[in-house]
Amino acid sequence: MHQSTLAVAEALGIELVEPEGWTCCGATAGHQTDRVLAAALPAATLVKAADMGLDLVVNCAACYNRMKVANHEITTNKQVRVKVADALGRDYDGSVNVRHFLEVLLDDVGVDAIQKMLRGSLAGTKVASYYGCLLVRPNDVTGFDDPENPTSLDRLVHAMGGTALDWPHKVECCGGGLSMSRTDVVINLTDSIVGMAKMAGADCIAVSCPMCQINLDMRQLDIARRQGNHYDMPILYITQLLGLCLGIAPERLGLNKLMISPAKVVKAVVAA
Amino acid sequence: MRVANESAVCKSYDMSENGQKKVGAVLVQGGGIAGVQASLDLANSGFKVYLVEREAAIGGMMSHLDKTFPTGDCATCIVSPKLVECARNLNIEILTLSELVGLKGEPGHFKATVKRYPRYVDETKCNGCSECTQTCPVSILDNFDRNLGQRKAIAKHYAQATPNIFGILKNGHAPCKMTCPANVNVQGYVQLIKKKEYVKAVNLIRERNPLSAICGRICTHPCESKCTRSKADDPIAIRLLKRFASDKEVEMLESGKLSLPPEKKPAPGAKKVAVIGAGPAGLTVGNDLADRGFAVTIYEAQPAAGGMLRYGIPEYRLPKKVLDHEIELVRRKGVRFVFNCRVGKDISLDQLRKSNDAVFIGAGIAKGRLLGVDGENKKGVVQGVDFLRQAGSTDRKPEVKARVVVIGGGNVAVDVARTALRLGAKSVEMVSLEQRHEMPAYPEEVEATLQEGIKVMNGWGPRGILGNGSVTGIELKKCTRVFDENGRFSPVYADNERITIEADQIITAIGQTSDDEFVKHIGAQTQGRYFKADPVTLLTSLEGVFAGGDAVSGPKSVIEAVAAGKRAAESIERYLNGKDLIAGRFESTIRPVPEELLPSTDDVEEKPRAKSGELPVAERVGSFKEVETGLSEEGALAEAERCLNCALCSECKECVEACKQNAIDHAMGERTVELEVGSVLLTTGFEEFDAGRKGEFGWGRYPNVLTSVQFERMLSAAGPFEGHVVRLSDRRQARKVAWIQCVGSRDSKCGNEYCSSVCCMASTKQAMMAQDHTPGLEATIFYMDIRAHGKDFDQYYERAKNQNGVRYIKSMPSRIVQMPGTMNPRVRFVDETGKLREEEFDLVVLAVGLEPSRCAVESASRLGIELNEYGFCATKRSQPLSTSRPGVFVGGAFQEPKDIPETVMQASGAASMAMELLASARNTRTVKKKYPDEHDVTDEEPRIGVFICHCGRNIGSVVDVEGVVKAVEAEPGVILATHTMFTCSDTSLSNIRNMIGEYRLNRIVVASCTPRTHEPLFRETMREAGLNPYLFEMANIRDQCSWVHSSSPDVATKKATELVRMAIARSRLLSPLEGGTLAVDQKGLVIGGGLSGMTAALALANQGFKVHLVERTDRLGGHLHDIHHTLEDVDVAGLAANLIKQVQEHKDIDVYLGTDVADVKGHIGEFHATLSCNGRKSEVSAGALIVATGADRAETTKFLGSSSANVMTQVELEKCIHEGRLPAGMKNVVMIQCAGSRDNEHPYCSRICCSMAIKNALALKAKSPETDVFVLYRDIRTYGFRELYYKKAREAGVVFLRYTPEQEPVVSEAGGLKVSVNSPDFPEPIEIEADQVVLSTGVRSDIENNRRVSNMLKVPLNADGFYVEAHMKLRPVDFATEGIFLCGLAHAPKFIDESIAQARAAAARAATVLSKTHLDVSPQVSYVDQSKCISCMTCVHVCPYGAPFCNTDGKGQVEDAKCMGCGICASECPARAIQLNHFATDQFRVMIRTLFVDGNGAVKEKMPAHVSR
Repeated sequence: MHQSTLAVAEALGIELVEPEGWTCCGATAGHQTDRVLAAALPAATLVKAADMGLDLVVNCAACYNRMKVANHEITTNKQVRVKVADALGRDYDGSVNVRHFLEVLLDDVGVDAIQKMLRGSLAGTKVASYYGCLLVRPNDVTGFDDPENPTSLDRLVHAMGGTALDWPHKVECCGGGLSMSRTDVVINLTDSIVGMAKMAGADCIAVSCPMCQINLDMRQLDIARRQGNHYDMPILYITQLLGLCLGIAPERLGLNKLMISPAKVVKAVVAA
Repeated sequence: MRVANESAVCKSYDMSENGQKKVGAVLVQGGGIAGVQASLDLANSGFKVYLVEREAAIGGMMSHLDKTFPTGDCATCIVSPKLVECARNLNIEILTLSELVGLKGEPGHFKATVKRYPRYVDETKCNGCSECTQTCPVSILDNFDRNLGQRKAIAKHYAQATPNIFGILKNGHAPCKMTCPANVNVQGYVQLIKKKEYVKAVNLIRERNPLSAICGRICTHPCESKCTRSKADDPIAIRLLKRFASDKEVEMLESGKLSLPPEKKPAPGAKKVAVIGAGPAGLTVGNDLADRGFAVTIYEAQPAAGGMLRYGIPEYRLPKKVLDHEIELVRRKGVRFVFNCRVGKDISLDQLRKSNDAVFIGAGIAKGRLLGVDGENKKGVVQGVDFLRQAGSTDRKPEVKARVVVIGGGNVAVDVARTALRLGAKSVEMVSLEQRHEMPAYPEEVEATLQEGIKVMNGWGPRGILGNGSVTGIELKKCTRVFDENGRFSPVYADNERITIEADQIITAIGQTSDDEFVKHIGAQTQGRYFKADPVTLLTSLEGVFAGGDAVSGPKSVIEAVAAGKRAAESIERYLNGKDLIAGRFESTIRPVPEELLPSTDDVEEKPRAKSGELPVAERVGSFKEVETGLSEEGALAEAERCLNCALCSECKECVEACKQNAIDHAMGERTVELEVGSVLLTTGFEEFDAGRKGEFGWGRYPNVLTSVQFERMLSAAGPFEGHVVRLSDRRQARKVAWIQCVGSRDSKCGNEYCSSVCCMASTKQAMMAQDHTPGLEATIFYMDIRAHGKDFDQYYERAKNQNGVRYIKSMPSRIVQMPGTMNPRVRFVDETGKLREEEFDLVVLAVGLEPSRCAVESASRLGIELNEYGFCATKRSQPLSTSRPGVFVGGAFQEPKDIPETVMQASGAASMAMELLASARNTRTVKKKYPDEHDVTDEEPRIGVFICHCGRNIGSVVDVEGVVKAVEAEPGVILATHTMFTCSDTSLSNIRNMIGEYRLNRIVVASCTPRTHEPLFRETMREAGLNPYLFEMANIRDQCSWVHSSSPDVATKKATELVRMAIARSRLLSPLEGGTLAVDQKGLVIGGGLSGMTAALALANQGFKVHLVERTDRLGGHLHDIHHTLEDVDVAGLAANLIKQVQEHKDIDVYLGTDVADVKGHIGEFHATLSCNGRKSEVSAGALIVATGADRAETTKFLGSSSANVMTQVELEKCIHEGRLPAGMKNVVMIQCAGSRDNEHPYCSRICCSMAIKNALALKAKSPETDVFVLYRDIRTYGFRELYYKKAREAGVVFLRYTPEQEPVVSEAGGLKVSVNSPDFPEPIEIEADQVVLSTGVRSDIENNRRVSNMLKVPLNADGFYVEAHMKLRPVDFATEGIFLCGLAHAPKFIDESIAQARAAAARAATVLSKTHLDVSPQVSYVDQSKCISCMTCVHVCPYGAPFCNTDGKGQVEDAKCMGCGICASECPARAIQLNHFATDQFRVMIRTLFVDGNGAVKEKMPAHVSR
């Protein structure tokens, strides 16, 4: 994911600057522990972005969500802001623009520009776009697309020449951070998501969150073992898919790290 | 909140505050059932009513419904007669498509401003014949059917709409029309092409563009760039459609199916206009001004007309034949052409101005621009425009060399190149500065050029022309950039990159410019090289001289020249007729469709855009045959179908032609009217919640998810699916359907925290109806609490659950996903055991909540009416009908979500508020109906007219109606037999009246529905036609025929025939009857002095009627004394004290305390009651009675009720709380709901107990927060805004535990008071040690007293001992017995505000009687043949109304006024001495004879099958 994002950014001429000394957003553990901590942890990184005067681009839906919620908490709740300032040793006003990499692709680069740079096409490939729950919810905080039927990823898939499926599990939860602690829950949830994509006729699922990617990809083996459902459904992070269409070599996109082989997708990308 | 004090408003002064006389008229805003009821009550009690409705017809939400619950009535069938009654009432003026926008003045004297939106159909002329709809080509989604079906742009609001007139939907002008420089009505002609009305299409085009066939070929079609369809796939091929229609016209002319219009000449003395130039602008001016009667002469320098059309556009693109045809049409209008006449040379402008009244300059610009390079004057260098001009003239074709180079990248250059090729050039090369994609020529033209073998060199500019004298070649330089950053033409060359190409001829086409000499000659002001003209009027600096087209604008397209011509013609006409040049011009009459109203392209199925046929390339070169061959008819029709009808109505004017009444007026505009009224009623009802706001259910995205209103339309026989329950995805019958409750209700997330009150029952009804329509249908209802709080609702719910097997699941589903493939909606929910489950259905219905209509909210804000936080009208529970503005009252769902009966009650109640305010002005603004004199039929033979009704599909889908007509038309006496779609519609009724006149009919038979609802209507029609109403007879072929035999159409048709034959036979024996009149004793008698009785008495007395108020106990106030506060904290004691004081002090109210009504005699208008007070009897009389006898508190022995000191009722608890008598430090208080309710013994819901428990729980929590309050309940029924307190209680920590009737809680006292309960929501039984148990025992009827009163008044009781109203939905305060009304707890359990509303409603209904001095008495009464009477007195004993008595001769006699015409006496009389008027024995005998005896007098051998079964 990281690799492919860097590769795609380079290909599209986007300069990504890594904030020095960034820290963990706190993830699920953080926000289940303490409300202030849940805001302070992302704020520690956000404040660095503020110093750099840049937008903070995130390509994990969970981190994105935490960052957005932290900003929201800090701007709407004075107490939280004061306590976060205490924790950080300085005030942070919650003003850093947090953006998902997908938003950068669509809003800054734009579909037309991307289309012009394509070297390959997904023509004939049916892609189920999977957004997960954390990008779109709570929508009044994240403000990302339509929370029930988002289409931004579909637009990108469409631009790449693929068929974006209108399927019903775009925003289902994959189990997120329960991957290790409650594998049973994750297996059930991912089974239902991958199964639905299969039923809808998908050749692969495009995801916008590495956590979702891991859950959907890695758990297919468990699903096969425990539920007896064999999907063999490649799960690609958006930049992996886009990278392929931009003509970037598969090995630079981390495709070799996927559990379910994306070979058929790689093969399906035809030269435009 | 500021609320007018109801009692203060009620005081009736003759004058309003500023001393003006009060106005006896009321404006009712909102024509749903509430508005209709209020209007009828007001009009029937002496007030003029303006019923103002936003939609095109009255009927409101009820007209959308299929059936009503729990009665199962067809909603339309019960509401329709009321609507028709409204329409027929002389004192109700219905203003549809109207809105109250302003209100000035004060109570009693308002000036109301009403905005009236255009219907585009004259209401006074339309007769509802539907010819217009049949001819209208535009089909659009029908919002009445909530977009499930389609309607025409001109249509009735719905099938049974009142008023029964049509209307057109427009929302502006389509983008195509707006974009067209000449504003040609594109949508209109596309629709006409769809209808194959090609000539009409061309004529419509020519209204705005006389060059239809020409533009059909060469128009730059900017319209297509804005076509909405392009969002879905590709724009409509508008130009090709125009061409297709124009070609069809020519084809018809050639085949003689059409002839050219006759030649016209301008009238002698017509004003004269000179036009310079016969190009498109000049031709258009000539055309338009000739149409308007002016004498136009066009001066043209060339030998023929057409300008650049002739001399610039080559034949293969625009055949001269086409051009000549359209010029000929202009000429035939009387336009004179002078050719070979160059102004400035052959004739001067001054001469033209002298001999004409106005001049138009449309000279165009025909000079080519120079390259400005060396060698331009060499031989063989030609200007493109000159080249084309020569090519276009018939005599001198230009010379073409072997190797031709064309300079330029525009359309002219392309034309030149292609023409050169056709004239014999061996090779043609084009040199264009621009790159291919930048070329100004149309891409398709460039493409064709390349196809024909012409080489295009892009990115080169001329540097110099080579050759000695004659051209040998051209040197080119590389052009690196044509346009600068701002898109301006600013070429940059790389001078070092050069090439040379050989050429024998160089034709330059780099643009045109004006003729300097000509411009100088005219002498008008210029702007640059072109004439300066006013942008709006096109007037030049010279008086009376106008200019337009390229001569003003520089080079532009043909359609722009035409547009300039249109504009100039309008100006010249205005100028010559002395009118203002600017005000009200055509351009100001068109407005675009607002962006948000453009049709959605989401669901548009992609269809390819039509393509023109083309001449093969091989045939093109060397020939000038037209390259483009146009569309086939098939292709054109398919293309026209693709149009999305952006503007709704296309203004094709087909309806104008179809309408025989000349009722259609497309130019109608908005109007404002001012009305003088004394009071205003707001009955604007509700709108359903927008289900799209709950995205998780996928409505709008998933076709098999519908809203409840859509489902009503689906169930409706008159709806788009004719009652079939189908899936929208595949139109397959749905077998498994789910309902999801509370979509947009009880939901803080969407801002609607209240309960919508009606949805639980509505879904229950829909489930049962769906099962009825599809036997075996599985119905599942997902609910939170079933709110069956209305009268008899719980029984209905139990029936659905237990008998019909409707599955109720207590769960709020979280999401619907649509399964790929099957498109089944799959519902995700947590079942009662807490397990997450998913279940697929064929169809899911979202029970959407009620919201106040947006228009109502806007309108209320404009009027200064306060609204609550949800946008409903703010009211107080103690004053439910008063808005914050005095004199403005409210009723129905705009006040709070509510069901039909409560709506009707509030409507009548609000009417009573207005009546009280305006009592002094009663009968000041009303008129009386005059009927024509009755036609004497005594000596006439029966002449019978038979009208057989289809009742939409109700009868028509089963009975062969036309067959029945045929079968009975030869019956003796039948003059006319016919059939109608809805016999009760206004049109049909007026048709009956006409037929009566035309055929001199003296008997009318209608075979349709039930006389119960419709006989009065038809009788009224008889009277209006001058016939006695008793010469009417009705056969019920619906309820008793088509409905019961729906599965055997043949039998039903036979039976219908027999029924009609019998009715015809009887009608022959009918005779006219005359009724008398009866004086009204204008006093009221109210039985019961509780809240309802007092309110009703005051409402009547405040209108000036004397009232007797009789109360059994020694004090007024009833249960009010037991209630201390309400949920909303109304001061009940204050309310009670105030009411009692007002009643006691009112001069027109006589209060009888400790008094019983011992007996009541008499009838409507004249009742005599015997009052008994401590054995002393007295008599009072009244014209109307109101029963307000109340009900009792229920008690129970269950749950240790009445046997334990620590178990009390809610009423007792309330008293304890109020008096501060509760022990301190209570740990647990347990409330048990439905204690002795909703069980076999007491099957109904008492409606108020849930709120009461919450009220007391909140009070307990407020006093002692540490006390835990548990409410054990089955369903919490806090409907409407009471829901907010349920939430408040939960927030306050009150614990709600559900139990089921199968496992009721157990209260035990051994070892301390304990309550144990098995809640289905918890796995383990729960045991609570209680300090106090409180039982919600509810309300029970005072059955003994009610039985006595019901016997005395001859009014019925239901199984629970409550009085039964005349009709549960629409007559909730009336008894079937006339003149007696009902209100309060005697009707059913209800809250204070509901009792107040119903009491006022009863008063309003009573006022419809008391306001009259006389009532008409029905002549349909019994009479005793004195000679046959044997004085047995049987009649006296059997009559339920006490009408017969023993007269002085000792014989039986019947008192007409009391006789209800039931006929019991006649049937019981052993001597057959009694006959019932209109139901005479011989009339029945002839019916039976008709059925059983054949024509020869013989008894039919076998009874017909349908009779014997």
